Amino acid sequence: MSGRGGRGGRGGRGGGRGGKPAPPGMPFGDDPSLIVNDEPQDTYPKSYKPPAAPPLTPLEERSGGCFVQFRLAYHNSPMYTHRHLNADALSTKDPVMPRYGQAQINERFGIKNRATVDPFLAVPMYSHQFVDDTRTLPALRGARLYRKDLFPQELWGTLGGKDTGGPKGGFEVEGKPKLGRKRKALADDDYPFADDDDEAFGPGHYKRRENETEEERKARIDGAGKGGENEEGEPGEVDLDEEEEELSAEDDDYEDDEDGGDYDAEAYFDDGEDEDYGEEEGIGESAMDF
Amino acid sequence: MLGTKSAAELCVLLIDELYGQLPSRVFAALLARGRSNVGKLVQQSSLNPKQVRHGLVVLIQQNLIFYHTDPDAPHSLYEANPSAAYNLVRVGKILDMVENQYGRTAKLLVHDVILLGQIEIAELVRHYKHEHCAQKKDSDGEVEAGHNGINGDDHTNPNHINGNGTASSATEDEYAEPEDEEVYDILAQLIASGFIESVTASTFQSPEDLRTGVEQEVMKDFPNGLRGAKQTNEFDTMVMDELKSIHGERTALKRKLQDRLDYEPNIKRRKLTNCGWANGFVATGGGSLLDEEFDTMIRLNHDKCIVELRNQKLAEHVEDIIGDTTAQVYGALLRALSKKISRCRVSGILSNEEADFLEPRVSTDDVFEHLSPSVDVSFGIGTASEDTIDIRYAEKIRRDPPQLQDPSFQDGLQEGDVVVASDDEYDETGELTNGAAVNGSRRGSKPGQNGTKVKGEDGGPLSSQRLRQMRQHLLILAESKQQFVRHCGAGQWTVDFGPLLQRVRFIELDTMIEESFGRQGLRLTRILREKGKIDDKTLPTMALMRKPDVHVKMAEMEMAGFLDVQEVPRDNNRAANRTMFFWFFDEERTLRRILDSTYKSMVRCLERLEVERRRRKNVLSVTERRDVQGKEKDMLRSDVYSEWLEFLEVEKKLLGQIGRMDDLVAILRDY
Repeated sequence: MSGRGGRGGRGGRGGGRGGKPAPPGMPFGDDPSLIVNDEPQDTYPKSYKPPAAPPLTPLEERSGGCFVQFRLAYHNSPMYTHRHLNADALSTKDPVMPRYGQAQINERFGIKNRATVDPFLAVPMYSHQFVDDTRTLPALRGARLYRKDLFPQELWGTLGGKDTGGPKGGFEVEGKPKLGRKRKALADDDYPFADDDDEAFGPGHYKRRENETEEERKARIDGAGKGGENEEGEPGEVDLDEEEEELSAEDDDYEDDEDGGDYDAEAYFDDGEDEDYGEEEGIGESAMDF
Repeated sequence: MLGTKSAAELCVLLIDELYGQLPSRVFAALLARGRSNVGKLVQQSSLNPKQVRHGLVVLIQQNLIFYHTDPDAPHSLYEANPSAAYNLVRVGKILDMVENQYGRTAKLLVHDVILLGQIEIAELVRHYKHEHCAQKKDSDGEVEAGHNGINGDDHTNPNHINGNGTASSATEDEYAEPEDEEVYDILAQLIASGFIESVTASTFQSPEDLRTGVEQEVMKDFPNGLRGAKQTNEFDTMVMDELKSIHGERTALKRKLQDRLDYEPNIKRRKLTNCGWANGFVATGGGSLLDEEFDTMIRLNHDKCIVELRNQKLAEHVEDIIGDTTAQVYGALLRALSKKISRCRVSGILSNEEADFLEPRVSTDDVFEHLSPSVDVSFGIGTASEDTIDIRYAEKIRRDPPQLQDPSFQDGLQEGDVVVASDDEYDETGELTNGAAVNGSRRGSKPGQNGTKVKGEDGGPLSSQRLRQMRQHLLILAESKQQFVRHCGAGQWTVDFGPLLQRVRFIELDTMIEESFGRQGLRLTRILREKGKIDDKTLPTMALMRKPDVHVKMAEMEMAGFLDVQEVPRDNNRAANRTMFFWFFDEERTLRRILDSTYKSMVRCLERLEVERRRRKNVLSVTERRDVQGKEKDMLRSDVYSEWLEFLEVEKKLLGQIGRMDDLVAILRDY
């Protein structure tokens, strides 16, 4: 019998026996005694019982603990950027939906700007001081832990927290073209995503104040008495900047409320006696309150 | 090394898990596009340039990417370093291992180093004191006063985090705040042992860039190009020298500290080992040396960490196969040995240099020194009378490493058969087994340990008996089928990591095949591995199985990708019955497949973790609050608390599973 004939007959012979001989591609396709069950498999067989993993050994448990501990420590450090997806991706039940193409992948991620704020939750609330704001950019400004010459030059500006956006914004700006830079930053608002990373927006600046020492806090309060809030500890220059901003017509950014209006929403809970807040009823309740 | 889609996904997820969304997005774009500049990354990730740059800063700070700046080009090019990203999965293991070996302070230091990525030494110590010393006082004060302000900064307190509060709280209480000097000493110790390495500008160039740069530099000496073999050789040696000097520059600090610590008087070391091997570091010298190096940048050296993890794994294997006490002796041997090993696999660039260290050896005394005094070596060995032991065989010295079984695993070991040592070559030390006094005097003759002879009356016999028993353990290891240790000279021991790990790999592979296809499948693959390619018709007789059984099994394994078949037609019309079918088992490919599916499972574990998080996001949003963190039990309502504990349980399981799969990956790929 030729090989071709043998293959041709397989369907007929197999039918009566509930199984089929091996398909022709297999090496023993010519062996009629062999029955192969080629029913399609269930996509997810109901009888599938995955074997249970044995319990963790103390070593594994400890190293898992170390991992979690490290993760938590990093998540509380200023370099961490929070996970934020857009509302659609968040509302789907399955976070690992198949995604096709880069555009679709990028679409999942949320953009944080004034347009995407949830109006019901954006109003500062007491409990916000306990919750980390969603940080979209690592806070590089305060960190003194890097060394510039280990980074490429086009990132030096970014390192100092003085990235002005745009393709060349990472280069460090020499001297004092500070005003110009500020203007440029405002002009850059035209860039579609340029404003999704305003750090001082929302309850985020609670966080920054929290880590400061007592002396820094005093200095800040003193500074506030003299001439408004400043983050960089350079009162004169920043004052200039902010005057500029007040003059500029397009500036409706309410982060500038910081320099002292009648109603200072963001600093509402922060100035003064937050240490003395009673933990008896306040915190207990707010922890339950979700 | 990491070339598959699953591996890339895994890297991205790991960065997302630890370092946050922005760096992970940038890293994903880098993996997708390969080497690229900021502009391309902006296109790929639809982030704005400012964000991309911030992400890049974080990635560079955490040593996850290489970059290359061409002086003529306006932009730097960035390149992902996937193996560094993969190593993130080992953070927990590394921290735990450092704690076991060097104590808690060392662990916190390493923790800070990983946390900050790269950092100056002085800054690290400052950060260390600020974080851990201050925080301790802080949390103490809070507990006493019952005061919980918003700075719930005691997040590093492990008690409520990993859910095994009882065990860790004890150590927390005992843990005394270390002095400044001590911190520097421990840091010096860590640098000398290679866990922490110094960072130079060349660290951020990928190995290829480094080589190209050096080659271009050297090429300037040959303005007319390379002509003939002589010049090519000259060129190669010059490039190699240059690379070596760059490498030397990187390890200069390490070597300096190592020298200093090695010349410490032995007495001090002895004293310290008596109070516990975990803290058995030399207490002076390193710190003062670091004074000159305050501004050196340091980071974690993953290569060395992998060496230590390998030691741990091998000791575990010995524990499984031989026994607990022997495993501890083996652990001591590996610790002694790994001082001379800086990486598991010899990399291409440095192969020449490291060839000298290919076969490090340790002496019996050295092993003894590293053995924890609390180990009772008298367990786990039998006693046999003197005349029933063939001392010549038992103590036989094998000078040459055995050959690897499969060329695909060849790690650069030289050719050399299993040399049957001539019968008269054996270690005479063993003959002196019952002459305890003789042994004691032999030890006493060692420099730096004078006075043993005098004390020989009370201390000598005991410790020499201990030494003798430890030697027995080493002999057991040398004799075992797996050949954990090779007795390579009188009182000299070495480990042939290449062949040994190949055997370990086979064990893993066999376990996996047995789990999935049963004993028969395992039998068939072992036959194939032994014999190479086997004809379809001879296999059933060889396996002593029925032909249909064999076929079904083989088909099953072929579908799973463990086996493959080769067709060799006997004539031109390729008829099935005129064709020979050869089954074979391609090990390298099987390993690659297994690796890839392991990456995939790890990805799924991480994704599962995300699903679980989303499922309980109400609870987690509360536990993540800063006033709740660390005080969950008191702050939360009982049902919320129990739900949170459930989540921790799930998370622990998933992370444990990832850790196990990482063990597998490490065995198959890294060790």
